[in-house]
Amino acid sequence: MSHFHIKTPFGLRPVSEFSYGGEVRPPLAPDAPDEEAIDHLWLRANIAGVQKERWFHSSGTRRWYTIVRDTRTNIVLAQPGEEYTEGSA
Amino acid sequence: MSIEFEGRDVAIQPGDTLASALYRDGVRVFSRSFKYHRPRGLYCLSGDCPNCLVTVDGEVNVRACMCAAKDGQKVSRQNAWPSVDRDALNVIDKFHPLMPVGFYYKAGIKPKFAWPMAEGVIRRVAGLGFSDKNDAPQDIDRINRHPDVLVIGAGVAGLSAAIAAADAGKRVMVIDEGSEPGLRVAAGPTKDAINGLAATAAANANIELNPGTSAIGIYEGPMVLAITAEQTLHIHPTNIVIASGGMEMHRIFVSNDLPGIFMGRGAARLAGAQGVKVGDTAVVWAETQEAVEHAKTLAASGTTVAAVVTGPGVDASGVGNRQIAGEIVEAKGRKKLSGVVVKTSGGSTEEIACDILACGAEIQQNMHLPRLAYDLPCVLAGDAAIPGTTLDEAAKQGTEAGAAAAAGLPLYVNPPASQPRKCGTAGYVCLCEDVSVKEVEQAIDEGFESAELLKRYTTVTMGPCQGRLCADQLRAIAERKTPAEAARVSAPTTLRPPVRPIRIEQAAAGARHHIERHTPLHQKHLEMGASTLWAGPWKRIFSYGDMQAEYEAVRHRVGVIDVGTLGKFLLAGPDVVEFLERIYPMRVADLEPGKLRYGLMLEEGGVIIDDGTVCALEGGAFYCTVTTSGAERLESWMLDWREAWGLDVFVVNQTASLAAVNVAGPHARDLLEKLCDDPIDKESFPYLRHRRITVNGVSCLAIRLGFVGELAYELHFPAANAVEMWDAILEAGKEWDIKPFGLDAQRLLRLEKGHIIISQDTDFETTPWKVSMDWAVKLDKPDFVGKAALIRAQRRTPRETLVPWQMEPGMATPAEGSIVTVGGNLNGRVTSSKMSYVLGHPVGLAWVTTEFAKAGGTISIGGAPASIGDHAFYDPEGVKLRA
Repeated sequence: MSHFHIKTPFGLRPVSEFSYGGEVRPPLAPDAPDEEAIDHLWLRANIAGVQKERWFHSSGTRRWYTIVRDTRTNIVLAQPGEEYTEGSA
Repeated sequence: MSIEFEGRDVAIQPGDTLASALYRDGVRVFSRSFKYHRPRGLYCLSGDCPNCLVTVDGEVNVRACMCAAKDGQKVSRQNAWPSVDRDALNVIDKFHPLMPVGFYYKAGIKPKFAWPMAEGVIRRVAGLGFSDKNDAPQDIDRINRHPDVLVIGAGVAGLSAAIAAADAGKRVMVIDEGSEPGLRVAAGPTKDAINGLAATAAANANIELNPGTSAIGIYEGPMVLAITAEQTLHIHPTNIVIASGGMEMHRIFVSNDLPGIFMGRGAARLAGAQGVKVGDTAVVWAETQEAVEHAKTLAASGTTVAAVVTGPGVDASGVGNRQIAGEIVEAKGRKKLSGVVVKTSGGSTEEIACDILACGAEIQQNMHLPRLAYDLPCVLAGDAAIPGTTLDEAAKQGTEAGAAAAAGLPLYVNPPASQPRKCGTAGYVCLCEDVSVKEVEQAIDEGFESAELLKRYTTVTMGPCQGRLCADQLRAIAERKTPAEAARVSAPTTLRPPVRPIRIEQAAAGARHHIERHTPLHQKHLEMGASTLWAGPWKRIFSYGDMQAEYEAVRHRVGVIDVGTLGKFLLAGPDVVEFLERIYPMRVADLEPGKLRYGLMLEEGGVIIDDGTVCALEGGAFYCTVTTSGAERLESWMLDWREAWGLDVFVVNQTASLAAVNVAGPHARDLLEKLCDDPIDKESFPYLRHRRITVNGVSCLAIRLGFVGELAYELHFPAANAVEMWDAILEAGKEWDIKPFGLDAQRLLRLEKGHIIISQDTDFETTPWKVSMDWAVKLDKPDFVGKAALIRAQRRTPRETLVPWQMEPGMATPAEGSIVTVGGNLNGRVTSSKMSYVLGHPVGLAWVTTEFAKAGGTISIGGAPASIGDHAFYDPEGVKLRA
């Protein structure tokens, strides 16, 4: 039931127009050991706090956006294209 | 005007709620308590207590005091046998000692066999009402609203706030539970103030008043969830003013749950707002000056006020027959109130006979909404901010709050932390779950010492009132028992939405707001009598009424199917080959223009997520199709990978702009030759090739592929030409008695060829290895999505393998999902199963442990033998589709 807005070239759009694409994670190295590969495939950090994450604007621009959000408050700390530095909001 | 109440008519008056109408008619016991089946009567009359839950027109647990009475309603009480007035289950009340708190955890452990029986009885005796299982669910709309300022509560503070915010030029939405402002307030200064403000608000074009609307939750954003009878509202204001008021505290004393005991405002509402004579003789306990007004209201309605029992600082001079400084310590009576015991401030006790006790206790904040709004742009006003506020203060606070909300001030006003207050030593803490002070104290002795633990163990605060009456009392008892650690044991319990009871339909509002996608031919299909089914967001054609006839046409003559729902993508750009090489596990780089290849799509774990075809076009672009249900998801998936890899590729989704039909059957070429002058013979347009040809005057991308196992041409062309193309094909096919075919026929045609359907035959752990599609994977490519996982998966034999199976003619076709056994042991399951008309026996696909997945082996499906096949059952060499 969360509600916040994501900035697109067409202005701030409500999150209900987007589908969640998960947390941004470093790509898996081709020669990563099994344990690392398994973690990469099946485990998410599921952060309670500040998280960099992807959203697909499925009912709109049909593009991906990367934002920084505090998962506890749903406050967007950095909109697409913005830099996030700790403590800024 | 009347309602039907348990088989008899009860007259109703304008402005009546069910509670007021029934009470006027003489109904005193409205329900039986949850556990001990004690009689319970009207108490709060504000929707906050559990006492008046009734069944209305089949809907259970309706709060009679909040439900406007309408002519013809059928109302009955619940939770009693044989009736609420003579409830045999009240016998449980005599066995308190056998049903201690935490009873569920303690009882019935031994003997074990007895527990299921006891549980069955308990389940039937407990609970609130029986829902009608045949009741058709009502679709509730979900509506989004975007006011500048949302005001919750249309009392003095709320209306003042709304007017102030509207005067500042803001669009204001006011929501209130009542059917109109002030309707539930007894005549007096408060009602006058509300009526005046309501008239001002109604005249202001910036204010939209929404009566009959309950806020049930506040979320970040902020977003306020509210319900009406017909709608669930998602309100997205910039600022919120909470003016949801306060209520009198639930007072605890011996027998404090007897019918005849009211909250002060409740009794006043019934007498003053709804014109009901509440009783003959009343005692009013006035802890506040406001409650003295309630005594006047009762007296004015014809009830004799025998005494006003005043708390410190309350002046009741001249009101009631007597005024006694003191407090109520006990109620007398068995099934209804017959008197009260007063402990005077001097320390003596005295019994006063009465049939009504109105408890005008200290006002507490209605804490639910303020606490849910913690840290959100929200301002509190009135009793919600400072309990027990005066009218003038409420108006002033409201005006300030409205102005602040309008100014968008970053005013995050958190509610005052509510403090545990006084609490009696005997009586019911919790009316919802029937828990007494003694039982709570006993639970503390057992070690459940903090409010949060007590809540879970005793279920106090977990009933319909959601802690409105009992939360602070529970904390007070914990603090009293463990004073040394007061702060810890009495920490407030967590509140969660919904703060008002809602129906399942209201929670599911909008769940059926589907986007239903149709191909341009949809109307054509319906005109031909087609039945449909969901496929992802699409409605696809299941059959035109005679699946076998559709099937026979394809196998022996010619048929046509609308495949416009397929995901269709044009990919181009400098890096397109590199991109496709990484997206697909098969090779793409060596695909010459004019050729096509079948491709799986895998996720990073090597699991098959989709399949389709890739056509290499002239000039370096590619045309890819994916499954109907996968199109939406795969577009975002491809775009995600494109960004991850930083490749320069355009992905153009042509799913909606192109129509597609597949003409299949031995006469498919004969048919198209009638509509097309381009050479489409076997030599110039062979299998697994595509060409741009003109059919019926329209340029089409024609693809020679066929999942149905016959000569087939798939035509992709602009959606605008779909209808004329469809008509032309059907007309041209008349000489072979062409039939359009649906998914039902297509599934059998595919199954006879042993082709899998992704997500019907595969699941979330199906790798290509498990479905014997090694040929579709080229592990010698540098990289593709899922490669690393597939290499790992290859290290060991998969536990199970998908195999085609067939049965002897004459055997019944097993149901999809049937169990597969080998040697009497559970082995696997059937994923697809159909009767093959051309072969004359059932065929299908099944998961079987790899050990037994050998061609020629025998498995048992639902007790009947089936033999494992090799590949396709029909035309295994593929002669027909290459024709």
